[in-house]
Amino acid sequence: MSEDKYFHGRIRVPYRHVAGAYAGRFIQEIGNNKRIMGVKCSRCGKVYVPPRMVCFACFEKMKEWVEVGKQGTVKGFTVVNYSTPVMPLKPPFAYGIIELDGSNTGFVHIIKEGDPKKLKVGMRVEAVFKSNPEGNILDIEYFKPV
Amino acid sequence: MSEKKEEPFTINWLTDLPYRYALGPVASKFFRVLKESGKLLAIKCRKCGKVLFPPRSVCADCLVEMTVDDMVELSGEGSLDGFTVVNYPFVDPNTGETRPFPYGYGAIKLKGTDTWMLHFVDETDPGKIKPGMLVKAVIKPKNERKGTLEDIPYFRAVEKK
Repeated sequence: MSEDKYFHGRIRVPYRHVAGAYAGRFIQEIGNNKRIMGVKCSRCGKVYVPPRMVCFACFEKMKEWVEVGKQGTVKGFTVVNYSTPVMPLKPPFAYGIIELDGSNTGFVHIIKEGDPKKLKVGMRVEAVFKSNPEGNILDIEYFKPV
Repeated sequence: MSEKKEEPFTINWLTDLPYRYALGPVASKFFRVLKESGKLLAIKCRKCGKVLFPPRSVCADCLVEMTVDDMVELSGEGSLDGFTVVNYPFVDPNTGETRPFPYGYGAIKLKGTDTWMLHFVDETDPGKIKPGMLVKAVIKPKNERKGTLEDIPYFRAVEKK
């Protein structure tokens, strides 16, 4: 006969992340203008979403901003079935790596589809923007299958 | 050519993860006794005789599993062997608020035990601290105790008579 108790704790910490000029413009374009921007390397032509300052391959500082499509192709995904209070969507849903039209990189975000039979590498998804943006990546609320 | 100084783009995010941690029989008894009688319990290994505080179910040296019957009562007094004054606005993860500072924090070896406990100390003047000095656990009154570590808000120096 053993007594068993639970300790109810919490980790509650406020964060302040200075995201930098490139991430800043990326998120502000999503929130204010409902469009997704990347940067293009003037040397190799690679388009980065999310944008970064220096091209991986060329080490060139990139200054050309381009708009990429709101639709993209799913390159990989995983289905989340586990429920906790901190999930961005109610499970089941999926995390996906999405190559947006016009970009050359994978962009990680949420796909609002929890049925593994309905998810496939190569499927098309479209961004759904939040009506009241808050200034973070979830101003794209999720991607929906199209 | 001067550029207008802009506010850096900042993302504010509140991480809030509630969790439930199963204590096990030894820790459950420790917190129950603390709440009901305000006493501190350690645990004694049957094989090597080492007394461990805070109490745990497996001896760190022998890897022998102990039970609630191996738990022993302590006086609550001990020696303050290490001490620091914290002057930094740390966030208390239980509340998300910054802890009021400065506050004292130290390593205390309770009488009758062979291990140290790291905990708050009610002193912020390092000049008043001598390593090894006698301190005692301050326990909250019974009606305020919840059966958590907050029932021991800090250790305080024992006044010499």
